[in-house]
Amino acid sequence: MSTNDITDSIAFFAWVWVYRFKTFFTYRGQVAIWFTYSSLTSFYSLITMSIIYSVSSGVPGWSYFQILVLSYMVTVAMNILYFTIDPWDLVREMRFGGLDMQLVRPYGVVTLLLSMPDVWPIAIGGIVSGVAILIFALLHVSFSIMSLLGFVFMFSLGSISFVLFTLLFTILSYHLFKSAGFIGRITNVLSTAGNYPLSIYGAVITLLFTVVLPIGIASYYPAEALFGELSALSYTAVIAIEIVVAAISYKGIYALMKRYTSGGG
Amino acid sequence: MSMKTKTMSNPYLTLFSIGIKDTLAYKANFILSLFSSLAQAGLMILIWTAIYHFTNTTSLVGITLSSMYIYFFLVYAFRSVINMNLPEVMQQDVQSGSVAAAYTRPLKYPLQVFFNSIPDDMLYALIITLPLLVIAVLLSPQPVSSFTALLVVVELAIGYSLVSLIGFMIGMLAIKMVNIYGIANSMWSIMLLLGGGVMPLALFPNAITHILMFTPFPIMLYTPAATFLGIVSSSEAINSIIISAVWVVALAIISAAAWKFVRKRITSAGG
Repeated sequence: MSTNDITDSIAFFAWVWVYRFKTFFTYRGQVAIWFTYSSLTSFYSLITMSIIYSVSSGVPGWSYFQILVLSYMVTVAMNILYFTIDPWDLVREMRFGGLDMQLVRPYGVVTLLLSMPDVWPIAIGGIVSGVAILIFALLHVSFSIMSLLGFVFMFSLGSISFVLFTLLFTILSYHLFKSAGFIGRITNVLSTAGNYPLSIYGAVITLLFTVVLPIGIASYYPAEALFGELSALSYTAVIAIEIVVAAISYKGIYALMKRYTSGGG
Repeated sequence: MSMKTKTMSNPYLTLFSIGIKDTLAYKANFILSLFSSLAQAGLMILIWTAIYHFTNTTSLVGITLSSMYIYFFLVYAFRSVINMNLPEVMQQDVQSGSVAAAYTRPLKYPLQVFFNSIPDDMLYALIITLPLLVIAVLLSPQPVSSFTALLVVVELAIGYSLVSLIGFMIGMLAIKMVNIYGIANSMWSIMLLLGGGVMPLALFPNAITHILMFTPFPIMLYTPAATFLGIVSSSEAINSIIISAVWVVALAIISAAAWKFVRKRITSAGG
């Protein structure tokens, strides 16, 4: 892919996001309802963690505000995912041939798949309210500027890798089952797992959620980096894993899409 | 009367059987859903084990760690029974224009949509609820009495009715809003939290638990699981059943009135 192609793809992707924002804010009444519902859902983790810390000593090694940081990183990461791709809609479009209209455009497959028109607009509300509570929690924990920068970089890269991984998983699901029905359940498992430090699950499950179903690279490890719990070597290793997950997902998406046959005939 | 004529005379049963065939078309969904339910229950057990050990206690608000294990197997078993499928079905009908087309058939749309979605719930109950329930029974230190089992069944039936009615009311919003996926999902999350899907309601502050017991949410998950575990007494369970039955009647009346109002505003998205 040439530099021009990459620039064109990024520009196209950016315009799709602008279009999504404009579309979302067209129906202001619905925006108000969606924001209210989305904000209510965002309080879910706050309530859960508050109750856990009020009846017990909480999660081993993590203070109340540290666990809130972790939990709202997952909220933000999951909402970025839902705002970027809608696995159910994507598989439906593949089954009924709707994707074919997208694929004739002169952009890369991954760009086109990440620019599908029907994503989940309520996710904007989730991102906004998630970031607000994340900032509130961050104000109550101590960290250095260097840790914050390291956290932002690792979290951003981790979120991109996680989105690409879910996209690969969605296309694989279409190839294997012609259905995306179970993806919602898998993302629920990832969301539950990511809300708590991976260390409490034991070595095997930690490894599972780091490399096989990599929610950890968009939640647990960036949080550890923020709180200064990751050594330079571990930090580099996690960044390397994020790059490998993103690269494998990217290549995997292209490989699977070469075998794609439209369900629309 | 021939078999074919008999089936034709029960159009809702025909819809039911179509729903079963439709649901069974994607068999892998069930296996993966069973796996994900087991995984979620397992994760919750690991999380609470860590919390109990870190707190250095054997009981939180009277709930032991072993009861917590059983609680989560029960909750994930019951979550599959009260699968909130109705809003999704209604949204699809509105978006595709099928809701208007449904009126050309001599059938009532609310019943059509109910009979179309019930097979999904039944099959999930059979394939996911049953194995998880067996695990919960095996983990239970004492056998469950037949009276307790009866209470649990009644509570689940009422919980299912309430979820269906709330689902239908959310589904009706699709007629005005077209896309209700976000609202349905948000509502489902709130119902899970307030219904005890995330943790037993006994862990909530006392005042909030008491208020919640007057809402339609606890009967969906918490009350059946707590009845099974003996966290709530038989008389408390019966009180909860009565309160929830009142909610069923109230929501049924509101749903019927709301449907009468919105059905006149249905426009076909299919052109």
